[in-house]
Amino acid sequence: MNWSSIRLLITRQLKEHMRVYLISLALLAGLLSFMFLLIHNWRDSFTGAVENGVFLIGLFLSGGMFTNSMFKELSNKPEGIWLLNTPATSLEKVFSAVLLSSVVFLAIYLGVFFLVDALYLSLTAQSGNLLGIFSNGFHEFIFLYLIFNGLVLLGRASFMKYSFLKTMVLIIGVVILLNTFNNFTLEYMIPDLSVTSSMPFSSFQFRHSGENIHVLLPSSTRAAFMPFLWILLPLALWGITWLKIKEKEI
Amino acid sequence: MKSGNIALSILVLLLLTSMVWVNTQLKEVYHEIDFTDKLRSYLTIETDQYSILKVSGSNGYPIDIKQSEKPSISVLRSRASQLEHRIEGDTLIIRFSGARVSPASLAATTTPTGLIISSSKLSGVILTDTHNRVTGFSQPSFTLDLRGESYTEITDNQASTLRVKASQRSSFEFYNKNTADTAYITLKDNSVGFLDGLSYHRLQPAMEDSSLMVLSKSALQALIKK
Repeated sequence: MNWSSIRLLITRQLKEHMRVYLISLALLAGLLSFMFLLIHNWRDSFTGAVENGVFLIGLFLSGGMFTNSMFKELSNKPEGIWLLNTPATSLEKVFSAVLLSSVVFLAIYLGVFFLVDALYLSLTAQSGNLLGIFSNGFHEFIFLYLIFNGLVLLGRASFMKYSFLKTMVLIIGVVILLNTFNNFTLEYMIPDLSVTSSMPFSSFQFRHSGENIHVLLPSSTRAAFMPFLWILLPLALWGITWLKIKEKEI
Repeated sequence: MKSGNIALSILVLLLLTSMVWVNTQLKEVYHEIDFTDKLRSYLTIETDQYSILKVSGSNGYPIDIKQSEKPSISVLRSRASQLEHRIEGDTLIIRFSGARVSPASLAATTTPTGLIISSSKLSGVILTDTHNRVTGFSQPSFTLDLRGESYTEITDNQASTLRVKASQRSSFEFYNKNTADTAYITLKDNSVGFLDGLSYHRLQPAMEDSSLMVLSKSALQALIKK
């Protein structure tokens, strides 16, 4: 990998789409402000961790759309051929897209979110603190975003037209299938168990004598297994995206 | 088959295998649950003896604090990851984080108890930002220090000397039958105290900064006479 090629690829992407990105940035700040305004107006109805909800809606919505703007040229044949012929390896192209849509995007998103959050708290004279990314394991959603980023990039490299819509439909379908398979295996392994809800790779809940009982992975097992999911899964998805782009070159 | 599709198929197989492996681990945890135990929804952790309790965190799940021979902490299984605790000298420090709800809706909450803290003797309790239920303590002296918009229900406690200090918009309410020879009630920073369920021989109230103390009619008349 040549770092100067990566730098040039990132510069090209930013220069070509700068106007759209700046408008989107303003739109993101507007959307976050609007959501904060909503939760402030209906603060008695919205109880609980509403700020976390605003953070996640903003992150996945804007992150998905921004990630989908990578390899945009592939949806148009002549532009796609031009992109594939750009003097850089497919690995450099994928690496620059990952760097922009995960690291750079996350840094900008966090900056915009906390700016809006701070403005909201100061304008409404609230006693609360800024959203705590590292409290209650909320930072795990950042890893979930990386997996989502890998899926959107893979969708972009796989589908020529309407890639974002197709990827979203596929993600929803896969989540439903995974959950169904997870419940099925749990009920198969534990006779007479009726799972009321489950989180694949983490926990499940069942009903016993009218009471919901939660079964969670032991913390040591979780600590050993989750890095596999959080780090290897996005890496695998980015790797498959690279293979898909490489196949197009051939 | 193209290499991308082969890699994708391997990844899906690997994910499904890991899912089955995780479920075998969950099955082991399931079989460890004692279904005859009343607290089967809770994970119980035994602790060393302590006499001061400090709890902070969030008010989303009520916290029960009760007297019991053996000191322990029981946490709702689904909220186990939100509990942090340590003992420093004679003090048990607990942080039970989570969602925050409007303090106005706490009295009518139907949310199950998130944490049950049992202790044989507590000389002092400091509660910050939490929804608490302090029940069944019988001891010579008992001090409750309520801070940070905490809401505390105090039920069936007996103490010769009872001290309740509420600050930073905290509120508390006595329920059923609480008795004290001398009750020192200090309210400040817009705090609210309902003393209807407290019987005492001597009341020493102290109030500052728009705080509110609610007394029964007889208690108020007795206080005015003095």
